[in-house]
Amino acid sequence: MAMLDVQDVSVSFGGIVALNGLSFSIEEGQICGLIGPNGAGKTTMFNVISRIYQATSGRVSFRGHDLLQVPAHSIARLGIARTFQNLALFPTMTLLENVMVGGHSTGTAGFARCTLRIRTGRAERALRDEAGDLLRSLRLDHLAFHPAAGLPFGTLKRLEIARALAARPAFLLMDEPASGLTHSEVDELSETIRSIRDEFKLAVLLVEHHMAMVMGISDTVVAMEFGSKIAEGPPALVQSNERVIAAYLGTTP
Amino acid sequence: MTMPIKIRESSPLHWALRVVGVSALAAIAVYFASNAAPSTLGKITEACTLAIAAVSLNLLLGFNGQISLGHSTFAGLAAFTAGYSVNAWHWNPWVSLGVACVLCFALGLLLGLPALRLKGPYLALVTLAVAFVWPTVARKFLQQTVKASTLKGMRLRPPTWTGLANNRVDRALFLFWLSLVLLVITYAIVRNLRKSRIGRSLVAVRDNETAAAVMGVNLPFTKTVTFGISAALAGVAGWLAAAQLATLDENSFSILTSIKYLLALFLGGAATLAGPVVGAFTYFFADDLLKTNAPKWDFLPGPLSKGPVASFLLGVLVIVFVFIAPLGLVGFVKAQGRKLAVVVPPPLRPAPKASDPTAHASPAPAGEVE
Ligand SMILES: Nc1ncnc2c1ncn2[C@@H]1O[C@H](COP(=O)(O)OP(=O)(O)OP(=O)(O)O)[C@@H](O)[C@H]1O
Ligand SMILES: [Mg+2]
Repeated sequence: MAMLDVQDVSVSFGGIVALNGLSFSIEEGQICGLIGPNGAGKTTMFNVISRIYQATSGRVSFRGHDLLQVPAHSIARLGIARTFQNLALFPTMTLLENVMVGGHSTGTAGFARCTLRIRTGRAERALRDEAGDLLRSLRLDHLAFHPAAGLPFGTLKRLEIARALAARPAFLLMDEPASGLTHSEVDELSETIRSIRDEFKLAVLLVEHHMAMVMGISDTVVAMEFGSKIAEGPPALVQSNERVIAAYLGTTP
Repeated sequence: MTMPIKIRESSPLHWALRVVGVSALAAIAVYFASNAAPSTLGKITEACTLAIAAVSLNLLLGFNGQISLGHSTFAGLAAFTAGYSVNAWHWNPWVSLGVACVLCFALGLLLGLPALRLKGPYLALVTLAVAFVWPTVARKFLQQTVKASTLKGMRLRPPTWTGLANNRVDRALFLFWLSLVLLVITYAIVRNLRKSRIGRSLVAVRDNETAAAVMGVNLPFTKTVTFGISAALAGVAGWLAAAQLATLDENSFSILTSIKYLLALFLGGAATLAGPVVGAFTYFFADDLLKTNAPKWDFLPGPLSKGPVASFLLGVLVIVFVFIAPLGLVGFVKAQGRKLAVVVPPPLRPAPKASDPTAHASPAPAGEVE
């Protein structure tokens, strides 16, 4: 059975139909590219999976759980983590603390235990160590004690990845991780995503406008337009699909 | 030695400095306890009470980003609970403290519910409404239940193990120590919370709610429980006030009391641990100084030298100060102190294998460090 199964999901905002009966599925360990012109509904799909938006109809199941019945804060514990298109970091916190919040779902200490400091030390140190390792693997360790506010966009995009990984996810959703990066940085990012997938054994749903990158690293690609799927399959096939070409004509050469 | 001096967090030097700092504060407390007049001790007790309220507000507003103008109501509820239960039902005052905190916690949870949907100025308005309703509720309670225009305060008898007698001087000394102990406990609760998994989640909620939820923070639970805890701690301040005041009435905990808590917090520095304490002491003694001295300043035009105008002057001073130092006294001192010495966090765990070719080494790519 597929890891994530999206069936006939629709979302509308007032009169605007953002998703219109979208269906696709992702296997464990797979990198799936989600492409489509601006406003196609890609971010909306992310927000449905992370329970920020309410689906009007349809089903989403993840490893046998009916996701649409799960509250937003329980998604992380099920093994789903994400990054945000326009950055959603904690600006006053240091990079290390940002990543440690990313690991919130791996902890258990509640209000009472934290107030009285009952058995909190060890988990705290372990989380700190792990967050430090993640910062290092994304080459952010030299900024560990720097507040997130005011750092360059590309740096913060990588911080979002480190923070998402701190939840030890089985499924990582990345919303345009390459936006604002230079050519060489994009190549490096592809490498990072692949090595993350291999090291942490996770599936990735990647939204990206950078075609060379998506086609280069995805196992399958889902193309959408106006909230509906227009093609799905291996990168080469999707890339040569007539409807996909038509949808992109004039937007991406 | 190069400036600034770097002190590693939790190193022996850091611990030594902490011990010296705490000992110095304790020594000051002992000095006052053995030398100061009861009236001075009474003032310090009042300042501690304000500090407890400001610390409680800091947990909610400073760290969790939820504003409350209703904290005077929690203090009032606790003070009335204490005053009434001790006088009318002859409750043990310590039991009344527990009950008052539980009541405040419950009312805090309740007020935390609309806070889930409202933010910033809207939340300020709702909590403001609560602060406005309190005097009416208090008046009805006085008229119908107490059948008097005031409620007697709670006379705390020093426990026998303290060796203190039940007279004015010893009671002042007892209240002085009690308020300090309660302040230390309140401070410790907020400090422990802040430096924990939950504390990080509170600040995360303040900084970006959506992201915090995606990281697994249960927003409704976290926000309402924080409201409850903050209210319960404000209740401690109210209970302590009932032990100091001879009488309580409907105006004892008006909206002005809430404003005082806010001023103390912002003067000292919101979202810092020491800020509300420093702010409360500064506010209280500046207020006291102005109130006693402003009437003597004959260079002020007649009406300007009266008591309430002293408060007005203080308000203006606080506003001007917050403009100059938006991070409050503690933020200001920290920024200056950083030029001399900084506390650096312990380093990250080193990379697993130094020879690992895949491990990326610092220093960073150019152009990233400011
Ligand atoms: N909260 C919202 N309220 C109203 N309309 C929305 C909301 N979120 C998204 N939409 C609309 O839904 C449609 C899909 O938006 P979405 O952000 O999912 O597109 P996208 O594929 O991520 O585009 P981009 O590539 O520009 O990020 C757009 O028409 C957008 O205006
Ligand atoms: Mg988008």
